[in-house]
Amino acid sequence: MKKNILFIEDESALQRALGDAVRSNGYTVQQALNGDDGLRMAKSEHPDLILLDLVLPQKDGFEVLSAIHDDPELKNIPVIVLTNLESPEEVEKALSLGASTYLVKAHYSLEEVLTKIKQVIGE
Amino acid sequence: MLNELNIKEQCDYLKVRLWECPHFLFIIMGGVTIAAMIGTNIIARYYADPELAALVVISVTSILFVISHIIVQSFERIAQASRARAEFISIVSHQLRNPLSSIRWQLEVLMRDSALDQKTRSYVEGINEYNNRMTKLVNDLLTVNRIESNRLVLTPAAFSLVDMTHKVVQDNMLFARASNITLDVRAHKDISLVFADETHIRWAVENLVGNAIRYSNPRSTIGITVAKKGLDVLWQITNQGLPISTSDMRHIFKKFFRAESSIRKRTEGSGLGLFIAKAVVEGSGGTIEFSSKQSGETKFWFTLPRTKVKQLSPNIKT
Repeated sequence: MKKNILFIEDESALQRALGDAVRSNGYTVQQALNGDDGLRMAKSEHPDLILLDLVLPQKDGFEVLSAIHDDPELKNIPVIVLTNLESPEEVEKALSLGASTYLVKAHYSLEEVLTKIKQVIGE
Repeated sequence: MLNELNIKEQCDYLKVRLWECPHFLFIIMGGVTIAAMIGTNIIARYYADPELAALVVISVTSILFVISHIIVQSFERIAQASRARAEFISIVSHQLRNPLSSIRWQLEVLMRDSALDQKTRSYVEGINEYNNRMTKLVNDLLTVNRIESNRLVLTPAAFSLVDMTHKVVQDNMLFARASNITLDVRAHKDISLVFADETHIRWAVENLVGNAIRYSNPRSTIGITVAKKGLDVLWQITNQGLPISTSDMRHIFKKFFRAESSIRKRTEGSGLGLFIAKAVVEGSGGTIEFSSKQSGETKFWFTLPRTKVKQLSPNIKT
């Protein structure tokens, strides 16, 4: 059965590019453009992995992480943070809120992001 | 040294007016103090009136207090300007990185498409290369900003410097071939893992390899060696090209510095790579040095501490 990945990202071009790459690697991808929709979809779909941007409209990435962390049904879903923020405080905050991995978009190629996804999802 | 004594130049560099410039005000304060001492001495000698002497001391103290206050204000203004500049670079860089990442990933999707014809592919690859160059510049500016504000966080972990070197060399193969340069890596697979921040050390290695290719003579060979050296691992790169002049040598690790040879060869580069490499290597507990002979042989080398057993995660072996 195909693993299901939820991608919460407000930049549609970036979402499309990573979405296409992830799909071509045999995963199912669902996409949300803001924090509220992302959290709603996480609750209804129970994805195998969440890719989460931090700068988002409505609920930002930290609020989404916090809500996932506090929800017993969601807290075991691994979350990869994909952002261009990288101050020590932001990295520490995201990891303390339960993010499995913190990736700075500008430092990673699509191929490298796919490798991380496979590592986190356990393939 | 002489430049440091040139008050006007120092004040121009700080971009503050003369009467707001700490260097100038310190000299004025020194002058006032000396004049006050001489004045008090003369008054004490010729006028035996203690009230007059006390008045002079109070007046001089008030003047010194006002000058000190102006100096403190000037320092505050300079510190605020520096902070504002750092924040500006940080905001602009972050805003630039989002579209650059988006372009990069979309180009990568395009380049995976096997149906792309040769001409379109070469254009896409060209755009990708320029996009990568802009991303690197923005990343470098952010890193320099962090180094200068003591906010560069290095996360050390055990990794193979040998494997990383092979990867970086592989990524630079096209660049080297285009310049008709051969890259020769000599390293034993069994060299211990190093304990450092992998992402940042990779930038340092990329910069050193990129520089060596840029400044090499065509049809020459660049040698890279990775070897054990005591408790460290020694990484070294040697190339043949224009030598670094003696006057350039002491500035080589300064930010935005570009050697005379780089300007003569009209090479690309921001002058940030070696500044970052030094900060990252030294921040990881290593050292970085170089030598350049008039014959054109230039060597850069750095050391990094080898991983100790207690620093290994259970599933990694040296």
